Amino acid sequence: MKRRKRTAVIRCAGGGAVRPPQAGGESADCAARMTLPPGEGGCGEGCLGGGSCLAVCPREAISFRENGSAAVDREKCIGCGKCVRVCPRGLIALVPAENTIQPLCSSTLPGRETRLACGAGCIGCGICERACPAGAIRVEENRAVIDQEKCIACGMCAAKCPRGVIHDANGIISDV
Amino acid sequence: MPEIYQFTVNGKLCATEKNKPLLRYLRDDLHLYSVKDGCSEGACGTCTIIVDGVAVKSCVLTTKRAVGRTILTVEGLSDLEKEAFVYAFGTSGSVQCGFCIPGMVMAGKALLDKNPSPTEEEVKTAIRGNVCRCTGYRKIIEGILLTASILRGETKIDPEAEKGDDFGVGRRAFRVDVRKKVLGYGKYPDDIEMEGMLHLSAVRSKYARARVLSIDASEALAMPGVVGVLTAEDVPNNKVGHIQQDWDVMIPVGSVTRCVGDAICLVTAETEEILEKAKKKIRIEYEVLKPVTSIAEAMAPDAPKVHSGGNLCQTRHVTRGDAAAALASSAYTVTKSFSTPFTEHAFLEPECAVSFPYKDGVKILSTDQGVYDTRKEVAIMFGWDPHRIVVENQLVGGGFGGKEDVTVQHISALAAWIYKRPVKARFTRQESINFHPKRHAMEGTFTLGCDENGIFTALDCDIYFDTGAYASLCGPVLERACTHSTGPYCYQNTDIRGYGYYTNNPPAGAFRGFGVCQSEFALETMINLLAEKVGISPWEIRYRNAIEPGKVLPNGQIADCSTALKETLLAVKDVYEANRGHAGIACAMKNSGVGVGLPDKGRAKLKIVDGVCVINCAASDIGQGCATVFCQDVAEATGLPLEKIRMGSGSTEEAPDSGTTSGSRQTLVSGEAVRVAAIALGSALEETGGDLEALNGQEFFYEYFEPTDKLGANVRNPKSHIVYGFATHVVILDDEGRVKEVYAAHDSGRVINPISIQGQIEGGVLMGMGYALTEDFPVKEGVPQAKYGTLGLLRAPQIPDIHAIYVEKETLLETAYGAKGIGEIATIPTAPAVQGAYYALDGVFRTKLPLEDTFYCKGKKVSN
Repeated sequence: MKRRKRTAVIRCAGGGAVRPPQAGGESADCAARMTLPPGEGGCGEGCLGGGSCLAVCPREAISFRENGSAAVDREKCIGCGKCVRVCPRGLIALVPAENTIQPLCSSTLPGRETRLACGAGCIGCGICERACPAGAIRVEENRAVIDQEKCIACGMCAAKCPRGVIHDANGIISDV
Repeated sequence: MPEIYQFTVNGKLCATEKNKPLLRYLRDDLHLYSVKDGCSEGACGTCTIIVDGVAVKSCVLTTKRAVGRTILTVEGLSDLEKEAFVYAFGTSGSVQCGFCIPGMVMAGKALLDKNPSPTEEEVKTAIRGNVCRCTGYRKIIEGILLTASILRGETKIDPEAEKGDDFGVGRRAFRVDVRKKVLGYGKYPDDIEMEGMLHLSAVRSKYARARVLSIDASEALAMPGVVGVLTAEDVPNNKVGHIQQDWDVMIPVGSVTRCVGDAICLVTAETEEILEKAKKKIRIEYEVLKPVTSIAEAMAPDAPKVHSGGNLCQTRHVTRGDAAAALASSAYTVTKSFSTPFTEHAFLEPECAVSFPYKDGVKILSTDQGVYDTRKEVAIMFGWDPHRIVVENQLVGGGFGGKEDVTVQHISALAAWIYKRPVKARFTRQESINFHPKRHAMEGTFTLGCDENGIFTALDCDIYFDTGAYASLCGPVLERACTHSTGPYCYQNTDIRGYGYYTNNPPAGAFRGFGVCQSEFALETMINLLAEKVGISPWEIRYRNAIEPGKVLPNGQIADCSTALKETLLAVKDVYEANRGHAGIACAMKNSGVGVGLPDKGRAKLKIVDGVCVINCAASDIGQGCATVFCQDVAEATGLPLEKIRMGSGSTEEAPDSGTTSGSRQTLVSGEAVRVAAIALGSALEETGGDLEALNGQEFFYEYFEPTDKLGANVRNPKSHIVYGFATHVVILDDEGRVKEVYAAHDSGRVINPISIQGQIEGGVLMGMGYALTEDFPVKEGVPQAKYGTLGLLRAPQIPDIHAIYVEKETLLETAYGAKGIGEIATIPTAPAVQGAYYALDGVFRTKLPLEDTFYCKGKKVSN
């Protein structure tokens, strides 16, 4: 049976990067940044902005957003999984390529703390859970988690999310 | 200053101030009716459009979010694309009820624009968000692949296919309604707008069982645009029902509700927006009572009475010979108890009707399974001579038994009559799930015996049905469950007891298979246990017992010359034996025609109008394709090409009553009426030398009725039904328990349309597979817990390879050119075959549906 095409998703779009972002290269080491305090706008569990994933990617499919968090270009990603293994916070997952709707927050902080810490964070309100027609998304440990097998990528969760935490890879239902 | 949202639709720049789901804007403001509203929840895919090249559900996207985007609907496809899809979908048999089709077309086009040569897997992924309940997806996938080939220039469109010069029986006929369904201009009731049309919706009970203490509509009535609020007092006769009139139109103050589907009041307003706001302003006070939630609770001596006559709605007792004695002297017996759940039809088109004042009564534009049934129930409600009510079928987006009872027709008619304006009533998807009758949940204990050679001796069983709040078709469904529980074999000792109990769960009624899915699930799984005891294979035991022409069915009926069950068994023998370790097998029989002494008549009136033969026959085509079959019947009898034949309107004013679309009967019973009328037309045509115009104004009418014996008739060999269809299914699992292949061999007599029968088999098998493995209908305190997307419906990426095999015996009945019906039987043997396959795989004999511990439910995996 042919293996399904998968793509990497980095579940943080927030501004918690420790320092200004660095490009790839020998100095890229997110693990080293783990011991440092979080920067402005960080929850303490998000992307460190060190670029370890960027450095290890064989297709240059990862780059930094303005706020320092790393993002995957789905056009370039081949689903090899190297970035998944290298992220010290385990923020990266491989998902079926057709699942274009993904929550990009991994913070287990309770909603009121996330709300204060990061403008891109999931507050665990549960609106997505109620909106999902397929029972595919749930709030677990204070943030939205999608069952990738059940998800039909309708985008209803992304449309209803009051914080824009659930992203649409096509940029139509919500932002990329 | 209000924001204005601008975007392009089908090449035109559009603007609106309202932020609402794009689906509503496209339908209500732009009147682009190809975009269907199947759920407005994101689950079904019927609203799929293309936004900047991406297939998107328009119920999810808002006008605000759509700003600056380029939007495409079916109406905006190029002429080449339109013709490609029509031809490909028509020749592939992709179109049945048609409601999912525009969404499938858009999902297909979005894929082909990016990937002009997709693989089958890629097509399945592209349509995974689009549910189809009719086709089993196979022929839609083929349709999209063929469209791709046409757009690549590799396949040419042959206009002869749609033209239908050669349209007789047995031809791979292009269905007559393909074009209007593919291009989305065919009208289902929700696509109808009338001048001055009002919108109606019911406020339904919050609790399954509660006394309604008061209804305060004052705030709603004070709102501008609210035309009125009706309660039970406004209904001339508050009880309707398909057979028994036990179903309240609305629950009056002081009375107790029976289910959450119960209407408390009806709100009518000028617009849907006002309607929604007004409904929220209705205040109802309840005294909440404890609901009856199970058969056991309903049977308890101190149980609350769901109906004043007590909770036992229907009973049946079917006996023949001496089952007790035969079992006592049997070499082997097996006794098991089974449990099957409610299931939801999940047809893609939610209920909708448009009613308006008409002559001295009302006219109802309806989606249903029988315009005369609808007329009857509405007439009962009004207390009128039925002729004052005219019911006309529009396109029907699926039924499967769930549209046999009135849902929106009577309430829209009531409001239309009272307010003297057209009124549209449409169910939300959740309302549809909560209101219309389900497949009965069953608890049953079965005992089957056989001799030392595996020849069955007797069946004894108790079948308990939960019929929910109202009777609906409980009587006939229970009866069919009992009479068919024996399976298609020839033993003569039975003692079958059936009980249908009222509870405060949603009502249960007709659903494809009509009780037989439940009882034959029990029987067919137990046969495998007897086979084990005897030491022969599950195939062999069935073959030894299979009914044959001339032999006597367990109900006493002598099987006729067309009986080909053994041939269906032979057709799958090799594939079954080759896959013994992970294959299951089951047989089934299903009546064609309702039989059992009922006046089951088919009537057709062929009228020659402007050189065209118009077929007037009020047989609802709910997607199974009977309209095309009738045209084929006429073509066969007369030699006329399709362009000289068409179906007339399905209206009670013009088309004679040809019975309900139920009991797998339209191809047989209405088909026979059409056939004989067409033969008369054929003779007349011969006399005019083939000149149809010369017959303008003439009518050819035939009424077909074959009497049958009612249950318990004092006849040695009763004829319970005109004829039976037979089938054998083999289900093959892979090592993980995934259903890999299904071989479905069917005896449906003469095949009128090979593509259509394959489509019915493929769709029926997938529905049976869902019943076995993934579909459930949890109810808590009488409240359904499922949404459309959590019912467990199978989607395109999950389909197995379904091999539809039909056997046509040489000796067939003459009726309807030898056709015997296929509508229900394809859904019956699949579930027991799946259970049998799992039993072969892991040795666990499962007695509950949906089956537990399978590949399809979380947790355990199985291996060889």
